[in-house]
Amino acid sequence: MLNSKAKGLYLDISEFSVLAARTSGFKLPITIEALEEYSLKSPDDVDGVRAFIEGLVDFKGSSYFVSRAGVYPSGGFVRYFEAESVHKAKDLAYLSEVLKTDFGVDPESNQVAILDANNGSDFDPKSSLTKQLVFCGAPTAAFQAKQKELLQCGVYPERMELSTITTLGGISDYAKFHCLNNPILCLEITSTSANIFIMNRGKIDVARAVPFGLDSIFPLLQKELGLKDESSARKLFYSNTFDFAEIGPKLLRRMTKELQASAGFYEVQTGLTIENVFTSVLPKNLSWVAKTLADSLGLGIVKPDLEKWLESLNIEGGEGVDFSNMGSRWMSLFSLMGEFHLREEAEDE
Amino acid sequence: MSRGKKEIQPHWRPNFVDPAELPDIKVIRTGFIINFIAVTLALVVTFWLIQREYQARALSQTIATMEQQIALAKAVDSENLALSRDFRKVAEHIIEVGKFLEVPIEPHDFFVSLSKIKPDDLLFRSISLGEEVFKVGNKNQLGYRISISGDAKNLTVLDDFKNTLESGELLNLDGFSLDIREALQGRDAETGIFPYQLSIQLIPGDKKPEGKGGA
Repeated sequence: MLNSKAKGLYLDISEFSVLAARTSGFKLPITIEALEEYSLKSPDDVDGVRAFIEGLVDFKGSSYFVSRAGVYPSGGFVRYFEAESVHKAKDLAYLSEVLKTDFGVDPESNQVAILDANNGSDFDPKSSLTKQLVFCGAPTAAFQAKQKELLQCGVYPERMELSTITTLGGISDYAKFHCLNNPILCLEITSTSANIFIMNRGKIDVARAVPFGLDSIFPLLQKELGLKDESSARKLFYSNTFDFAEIGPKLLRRMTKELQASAGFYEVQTGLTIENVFTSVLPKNLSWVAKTLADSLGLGIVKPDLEKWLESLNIEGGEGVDFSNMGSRWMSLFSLMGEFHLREEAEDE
Repeated sequence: MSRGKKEIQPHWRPNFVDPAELPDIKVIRTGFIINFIAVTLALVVTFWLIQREYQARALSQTIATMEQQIALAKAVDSENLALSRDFRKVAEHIIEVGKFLEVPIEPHDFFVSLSKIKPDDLLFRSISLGEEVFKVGNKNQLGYRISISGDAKNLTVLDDFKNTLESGELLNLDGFSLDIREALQGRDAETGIFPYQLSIQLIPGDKKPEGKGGA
């Protein structure tokens, strides 16, 4: 007669696909009961996403399923800022001005969260003693649009997180767990933009945006292969039928330069050597992008051992759930489940 | 900054959901009603069973007490029954005596009265008074037969005596009809006396039987 415990649903919704996990609940310890991926047929594939979610969880006659979602809103940003002093960092008016002048983000029209760049904790001007900050967020309208889309898909977002920063949290925690002491170059490429981050020992040292993304490749691809138009180049790019091993470095040269510039500057500035690159968001059929970039930069690719890491976070795979073949792109989904502060608390003890 | 949330977020995971834009999905849960009914039902059944058990226990105790009382009262009861039996026997005797005394004719008074109305020229040799059963309708009822025998100087005296008996109060009793029959023997030639015999019947019932008259 008693109701069974409500299941948890975690979703990472990018412009390429929906990564979903049905879990035993939202509270740790969590058992992942099922992992599914749905490739979006179009940018507004609401019916498809709803059908996918309905196939994964039981709505029990309800219109919505309570979920925790990570999204990539247009205009989303993650910026690193180091104030002149801790005292200065406590001045919200000053920080607001920095957002406007240094990063071109209007605090009035954007939802902004300020985190301590050292551990990702919520920045509290009254109690925090840090001058290294991370501004993250997106235009309010973009978040509202994403929330509306989620509701249309039958998803009731108990939490809606910015996947970019959540994934960085996951990488930070993963690096701590696996003792990856060298800085990691993180790249998030979407169709229209990219974000470059350098994570060092669990903290963000660099966060900068690149104003172009995968779309910038299409004119080059068209030119290289003599295609009719950019639309044809786009189709070929995402078709998974062409081997880009040969022309990949040419296509990604511009992005490689951006990464080299950021990495080189960082290495000179800090004297540290970046050893690995981590790419997120990219769908499975574009895994060659990560490999090409890593090869071009002479870096290794972070291939996360998800199972052990998740176990350390009190998350386990249920029957039939296999983490062995999952690439780094799943890090964003699992990061939505992680209570990273617990590891820090354990370390402090 | 438009984000005005005060609560501490999990590290690296700020929540950007806008609660004001979320629909109300609060469900009015009715499961508790079913649970409540089930629990109430269980309690009622339990209470009913306990009550029944208690009643059965109380009845058993009462039965045991009553049996004990019955055992104790049995001796007294047997004594009372014996007494009652004796009383009934005695009562029967008393009723019989009462019935015996309730006769409409008391022999000694009757004989005295009869002798008073007897004419001088009439002699009684024998008088008998006895009970006799008469059939009245379909029922047998108790009546009386009086037999008088004697001698009469002449027949007129006998007729007068008979008429006196028929009309007098002595034999006209309530609840009885009177029937007098006479039987004459031949006149004694030597003495000139007529030996006679009167058979008087007191028959239960007010109506006098038909066929009344001499033999």
